[in-house]
Amino acid sequence: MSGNVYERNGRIACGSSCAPAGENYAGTFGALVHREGELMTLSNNHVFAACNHVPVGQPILAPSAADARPDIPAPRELCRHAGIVELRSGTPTLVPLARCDAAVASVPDENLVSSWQGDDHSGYDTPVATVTPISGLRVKKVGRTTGLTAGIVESRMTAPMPLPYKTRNFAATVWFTDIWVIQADAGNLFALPGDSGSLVVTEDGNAAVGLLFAASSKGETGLITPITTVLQELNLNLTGNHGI
Amino acid sequence: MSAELQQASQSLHAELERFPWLRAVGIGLVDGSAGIFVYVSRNNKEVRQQIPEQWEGFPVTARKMSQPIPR
Repeated sequence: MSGNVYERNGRIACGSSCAPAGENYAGTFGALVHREGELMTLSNNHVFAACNHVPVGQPILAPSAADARPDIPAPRELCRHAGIVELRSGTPTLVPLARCDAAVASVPDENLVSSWQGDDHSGYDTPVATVTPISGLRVKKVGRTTGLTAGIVESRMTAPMPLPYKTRNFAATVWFTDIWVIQADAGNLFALPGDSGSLVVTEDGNAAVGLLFAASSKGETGLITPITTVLQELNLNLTGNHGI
Repeated sequence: MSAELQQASQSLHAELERFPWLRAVGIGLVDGSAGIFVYVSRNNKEVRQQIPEQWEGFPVTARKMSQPIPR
Protein backbone atom coordinates (compact mmCIF):
# COMPACT_ATOMS: atom_id res chain seq x y z
CA MET A 1 0.00 0.00 0.00
CA SER A 2 1.08 3.58 -0.62
CA GLY A 3 2.04 5.71 2.31
CA ASN A 4 -0.41 8.23 3.66
CA VAL A 5 0.74 11.80 4.08
CA TYR A 6 -1.55 14.15 5.99
CA GLU A 7 -1.46 17.93 6.10
CA ARG A 8 -3.30 20.35 8.32
CA ASN A 9 -3.08 24.06 7.55
CA GLY A 10 -0.06 23.33 5.37
CA ARG A 11 1.70 21.51 8.22
CA ILE A 12 2.65 17.83 8.42
CA ALA A 13 0.02 16.07 10.53
CA CYS A 14 0.31 13.01 12.77
CA GLY A 15 -0.33 9.67 11.12
CA SER A 16 1.90 10.56 8.19
CA SER A 17 4.58 8.40 6.62
CA CYS A 18 8.08 9.08 7.90
CA ALA A 19 11.57 7.56 8.10
CA PRO A 20 15.14 8.71 8.67
CA ALA A 21 16.97 10.06 5.63
CA GLY A 22 18.94 7.27 4.02
CA GLU A 23 16.63 4.48 5.15
CA ASN A 24 14.47 2.53 2.71
CA TYR A 25 11.39 1.87 4.83
CA ALA A 26 8.45 3.78 6.25
CA GLY A 27 6.70 4.10 9.58
CA THR A 28 4.30 6.53 11.19
CA PHE A 29 4.78 9.93 12.84
CA GLY A 30 2.66 9.17 15.90
CA ALA A 31 2.30 12.34 17.92
CA LEU A 32 3.72 15.63 19.04
CA VAL A 33 5.09 15.63 22.57
CA HIS A 34 6.88 18.01 24.93
CA ARG A 35 9.95 17.34 27.04
CA GLU A 36 11.02 20.13 29.38
CA GLY A 37 9.38 22.70 27.13
CA GLU A 38 10.85 21.39 23.87
CA LEU A 39 8.46 20.31 21.12
CA MET A 40 9.30 16.83 19.83
CA THR A 41 7.82 14.02 17.75
CA LEU A 42 7.09 10.49 18.94
CA SER A 43 7.30 7.18 17.10
CA ASN A 44 8.98 3.79 17.54
CA ASN A 45 12.69 3.11 17.93
CA HIS A 46 12.47 0.88 14.85
CA VAL A 47 10.94 3.79 12.88
CA PHE A 48 13.03 6.79 13.99
CA ALA A 49 16.21 4.87 14.79
CA ALA A 50 16.16 1.69 12.67
CA CYS A 51 16.50 -0.29 15.92
CA ASN A 52 19.21 1.64 17.82
CA HIS A 53 21.26 2.44 14.70
CA VAL A 54 20.36 5.91 13.39
CA PRO A 55 22.68 8.60 14.78
CA VAL A 56 21.25 11.38 16.92
CA GLY A 57 20.65 14.43 14.75
CA GLN A 58 19.80 12.46 11.61
CA PRO A 59 16.96 14.17 9.68
CA ILE A 60 13.67 12.31 9.64
CA LEU A 61 11.67 12.90 6.49
CA ALA A 62 7.93 12.98 5.88
CA PRO A 63 6.88 11.24 3.77
CA SER A 64 9.66 8.68 3.88
CA ALA A 65 11.80 8.59 0.76
CA ALA A 66 10.39 5.12 0.09
CA ASP A 67 6.89 6.62 -0.14
CA ALA A 68 7.75 9.48 -2.52
CA ARG A 69 5.47 9.55 -5.57
CA PRO A 70 4.32 12.12 -8.13
CA ASP A 71 0.99 13.06 -6.55
CA ILE A 72 2.12 14.00 -3.04
CA PRO A 73 4.52 16.59 -1.58
CA ALA A 74 8.19 15.63 -1.78
CA PRO A 75 9.88 14.31 1.37
CA ARG A 76 10.89 17.13 3.69
CA GLU A 77 12.48 17.39 7.08
CA LEU A 78 9.97 16.67 9.82
CA CYS A 79 12.33 16.38 12.76
CA ARG A 80 15.78 15.16 13.84
CA HIS A 81 16.36 11.97 15.74
CA ALA A 82 17.00 12.70 19.43
CA GLY A 83 16.70 9.60 21.57
CA ILE A 84 15.45 6.06 22.06
CA VAL A 85 14.34 3.46 24.49
CA GLU A 86 16.91 0.82 23.66
CA LEU A 87 15.80 -2.43 22.04
CA ARG A 88 17.76 -5.21 23.67
CA SER A 89 17.85 -8.78 22.42
CA GLY A 90 18.17 -11.82 24.60
CA THR A 91 16.28 -14.43 26.52
CA PRO A 92 14.23 -13.09 29.46
CA THR A 93 16.28 -15.05 31.97
CA LEU A 94 19.38 -13.06 30.96
CA VAL A 95 18.16 -9.71 29.61
CA PRO A 96 15.56 -7.34 31.10
CA LEU A 97 12.24 -7.42 29.29
CA ALA A 98 11.49 -4.54 26.92
CA ARG A 99 8.68 -2.29 28.12
CA CYS A 100 8.23 -0.36 24.87
CA ASP A 101 9.60 0.38 21.41
CA ALA A 102 9.84 4.15 21.35
CA ALA A 103 11.92 7.08 20.15
CA VAL A 104 11.71 10.86 20.04
CA ALA A 105 12.97 13.48 17.64
CA SER A 106 13.48 17.24 17.90
CA VAL A 107 11.35 19.58 15.82
CA PRO A 108 13.50 22.24 14.15
CA ASP A 109 10.54 24.36 13.02
CA GLU A 110 7.36 24.30 15.11
CA ASN A 111 5.44 25.86 12.22
CA LEU A 112 5.96 22.76 10.06
CA VAL A 113 4.02 20.34 12.25
CA SER A 114 0.50 19.86 13.57
CA SER A 115 -0.88 17.78 16.43
CA TRP A 116 -3.86 16.91 14.21
CA GLN A 117 -4.21 13.20 13.49
CA GLY A 118 -5.07 12.30 9.91
CA ASP A 119 -7.10 14.24 7.36
CA ASP A 120 -9.34 17.28 7.73
CA HIS A 121 -12.55 15.30 7.28
CA SER A 122 -12.23 12.34 9.65
CA GLY A 123 -9.23 13.33 11.75
CA TYR A 124 -8.99 14.57 15.32
CA ASP A 125 -6.57 16.43 17.53
CA THR A 126 -4.07 14.50 19.65
CA PRO A 127 -5.51 14.14 23.15
CA VAL A 128 -3.26 15.21 26.00
CA ALA A 129 -5.04 12.99 28.52
CA THR A 130 -4.04 9.35 28.88
CA VAL A 131 -5.85 6.23 29.97
CA THR A 132 -4.59 2.79 30.86
CA PRO A 133 -5.68 0.12 28.36
CA ILE A 134 -8.58 -2.02 29.53
CA SER A 135 -10.20 -4.96 27.83
CA GLY A 136 -13.33 -3.95 25.94
CA LEU A 137 -12.26 -0.35 25.32
CA ARG A 138 -12.99 0.81 21.78
CA VAL A 139 -10.08 2.59 20.14
CA LYS A 140 -8.87 4.11 16.86
CA LYS A 141 -5.66 5.24 15.25
CA VAL A 142 -4.32 6.95 12.13
CA GLY A 143 -1.36 5.31 10.43
CA ARG A 144 0.84 5.53 7.37
CA THR A 145 -0.49 2.34 5.72
CA THR A 146 -4.10 1.76 6.75
CA GLY A 147 -5.05 5.33 7.68
CA LEU A 148 -7.92 5.73 10.15
CA THR A 149 -9.01 2.39 11.59
CA ALA A 150 -10.93 1.24 14.67
CA GLY A 151 -10.89 -1.76 16.95
CA ILE A 152 -11.20 -2.97 20.50
CA VAL A 153 -8.66 -3.61 23.24
CA GLU A 154 -8.99 -7.36 23.57
CA SER A 155 -6.40 -8.63 26.03
CA ARG A 156 -3.12 -8.16 27.85
CA MET A 157 -0.40 -10.74 27.32
CA THR A 158 0.45 -12.48 30.55
CA ALA A 159 3.80 -13.92 29.53
CA PRO A 160 6.79 -12.27 27.83
CA MET A 161 6.22 -12.16 24.07
CA PRO A 162 9.09 -12.50 21.56
CA LEU A 163 9.01 -10.30 18.47
CA PRO A 164 11.38 -10.69 15.50
CA TYR A 165 13.10 -7.47 14.46
CA LYS A 166 14.94 -7.18 11.17
CA THR A 167 16.56 -4.03 9.88
CA ARG A 168 19.79 -3.37 8.01
CA ASN A 169 21.88 -3.45 11.21
CA PHE A 170 19.69 -5.26 13.71
CA ALA A 171 18.21 -8.72 13.32
CA ALA A 172 17.15 -10.13 16.67
CA THR A 173 14.36 -11.29 18.91
CA VAL A 174 13.22 -8.82 21.55
CA TRP A 175 11.05 -10.04 24.44
CA PHE A 176 8.35 -7.62 25.60
CA THR A 177 6.24 -7.35 28.71
CA ASP A 178 2.88 -5.62 29.17
CA ILE A 179 1.76 -5.94 25.55
CA TRP A 180 -1.89 -5.33 24.74
CA VAL A 181 -3.76 -6.79 21.76
CA ILE A 182 -6.05 -4.60 19.64
CA GLN A 183 -8.47 -6.56 17.51
CA ALA A 184 -10.04 -5.01 14.42
CA ASP A 185 -13.77 -5.16 13.95
CA ALA A 186 -14.77 -8.34 12.11
CA GLY A 187 -13.50 -8.41 8.55
CA ASN A 188 -11.60 -5.12 8.88
CA LEU A 189 -7.97 -4.18 9.27
CA PHE A 190 -6.51 -2.46 12.29
CA ALA A 191 -2.88 -2.09 11.25
CA LEU A 192 -0.29 -3.29 8.77
CA PRO A 193 3.47 -2.87 8.46
CA GLY A 194 4.15 0.85 8.10
CA ASP A 195 1.60 1.77 10.75
CA SER A 196 4.18 1.31 13.50
CA GLY A 197 4.45 4.42 15.62
CA SER A 198 0.75 5.28 15.43
CA LEU A 199 -0.88 6.72 18.53
CA VAL A 200 -3.89 4.63 19.60
CA VAL A 201 -6.62 6.70 21.26
CA THR A 202 -10.09 6.09 22.67
CA GLU A 203 -12.90 5.99 20.13
CA ASP A 204 -14.14 9.41 21.27
CA GLY A 205 -10.63 10.80 20.84
CA ASN A 206 -10.48 12.10 24.41
CA ALA A 207 -7.53 10.06 25.71
CA ALA A 208 -4.42 8.36 24.39
CA VAL A 209 -4.20 4.63 25.11
CA GLY A 210 -1.04 3.22 23.58
CA LEU A 211 1.72 3.33 21.01
CA LEU A 212 1.38 0.82 18.19
CA PHE A 213 4.63 -1.00 17.50
CA ALA A 214 3.67 -4.20 15.68
CA ALA A 215 0.91 -5.54 13.52
CA SER A 216 -0.07 -9.00 12.45
CA SER A 217 0.91 -9.77 8.88
CA LYS A 218 -2.74 -9.89 7.77
CA GLY A 219 -3.67 -6.72 9.60
CA GLU A 220 -6.38 -7.99 11.92
CA THR A 221 -4.38 -7.34 15.07
CA GLY A 222 -2.22 -4.55 16.42
CA LEU A 223 0.10 -4.69 19.41
CA ILE A 224 0.55 -1.70 21.68
CA THR A 225 2.35 -0.74 24.81
CA PRO A 226 0.53 1.59 27.21
CA ILE A 227 1.17 5.23 26.33
CA THR A 228 1.76 5.93 30.01
CA THR A 229 4.77 3.61 29.89
CA VAL A 230 6.16 5.31 26.79
CA LEU A 231 5.73 8.82 28.20
CA GLN A 232 7.31 7.76 31.49
CA GLU A 233 10.30 6.06 29.83
CA LEU A 234 11.13 9.14 27.76
CA ASN A 235 9.91 11.80 30.23
CA LEU A 236 7.34 13.23 27.81
CA ASN A 237 3.91 14.83 27.78
CA LEU A 238 1.54 14.62 24.84
CA THR A 239 0.90 17.85 22.94
CA GLY A 240 -2.43 18.87 21.45
CA ASN A 241 -3.88 22.06 19.97
CA HIS A 242 -0.75 22.74 17.93
CA GLY A 243 -1.21 24.04 14.41
CA ILE A 244 -4.75 22.76 14.12
CA MET B 1 -8.49 -8.47 36.17
CA SER B 2 -7.94 -10.70 39.18
CA ALA B 3 -4.74 -12.29 40.39
CA GLU B 4 -6.47 -15.66 39.96
CA LEU B 5 -7.08 -14.97 36.28
CA GLN B 6 -3.49 -13.82 35.77
CA GLN B 7 -2.25 -16.98 37.47
CA ALA B 8 -4.59 -19.18 35.42
CA SER B 9 -3.41 -17.53 32.19
CA GLN B 10 0.22 -18.08 33.08
CA SER B 11 -0.36 -21.72 33.93
CA LEU B 12 -2.22 -22.27 30.66
CA HIS B 13 0.68 -20.63 28.81
CA ALA B 14 3.06 -23.02 30.53
CA GLU B 15 0.81 -25.91 29.51
CA LEU B 16 0.70 -24.88 25.84
CA GLU B 17 4.11 -23.35 25.19
CA ARG B 18 5.50 -26.64 23.88
CA PHE B 19 3.26 -26.35 20.82
CA PRO B 20 4.76 -24.53 17.83
CA TRP B 21 1.40 -23.00 16.91
CA LEU B 22 1.16 -21.00 20.15
CA ARG B 23 1.77 -17.28 19.65
CA ALA B 24 0.67 -15.85 23.00
CA VAL B 25 -1.78 -16.09 25.87
CA GLY B 26 -3.64 -13.09 27.25
CA ILE B 27 -6.43 -12.07 29.59
CA GLY B 28 -9.46 -9.94 28.86
CA LEU B 29 -13.19 -9.92 28.59
CA VAL B 30 -14.73 -12.92 26.81
CA ASP B 31 -18.40 -12.12 26.09
CA GLY B 32 -18.39 -9.69 28.99
CA SER B 33 -16.75 -12.02 31.50
CA ALA B 34 -13.12 -12.26 32.52
CA GLY B 35 -11.39 -14.96 30.52
CA ILE B 36 -8.31 -16.18 28.71
CA PHE B 37 -7.37 -15.67 25.05
CA VAL B 38 -5.07 -18.16 23.36
CA TYR B 39 -3.52 -16.76 20.17
CA VAL B 40 -2.52 -19.40 17.66
CA SER B 41 -0.90 -19.45 14.25
CA ARG B 42 -3.57 -21.81 12.93
CA ASN B 43 -6.99 -22.67 14.30
CA ASN B 44 -7.77 -26.12 12.92
CA LYS B 45 -9.25 -29.18 14.58
CA GLU B 46 -5.87 -30.50 15.72
CA VAL B 47 -5.09 -27.23 17.50
CA ARG B 48 -8.56 -26.80 18.99
CA GLN B 49 -8.33 -30.28 20.52
CA GLN B 50 -5.36 -29.08 22.59
CA ILE B 51 -7.04 -25.94 23.91
CA PRO B 52 -9.48 -26.39 26.81
CA GLU B 53 -12.81 -24.56 26.80
CA GLN B 54 -12.29 -23.71 30.47
CA TRP B 55 -9.10 -23.39 32.51
CA GLU B 56 -9.13 -23.11 36.29
CA GLY B 57 -12.73 -21.90 36.08
CA PHE B 58 -12.20 -19.25 33.40
CA PRO B 59 -13.53 -19.41 29.82
CA VAL B 60 -10.89 -19.84 27.10
CA THR B 61 -11.16 -18.40 23.59
CA ALA B 62 -8.81 -19.40 20.77
CA ARG B 63 -7.95 -16.69 18.25
CA LYS B 64 -5.96 -17.08 15.06
CA MET B 65 -3.23 -14.45 14.85
CA SER B 66 -1.00 -14.07 11.81
CA GLN B 67 2.67 -13.44 12.57
CA PRO B 68 3.10 -10.12 14.42
CA ILE B 69 5.73 -7.97 12.76
CA PRO B 70 7.30 -4.85 14.26
CA ARG B 71 7.40 -2.72 11.11
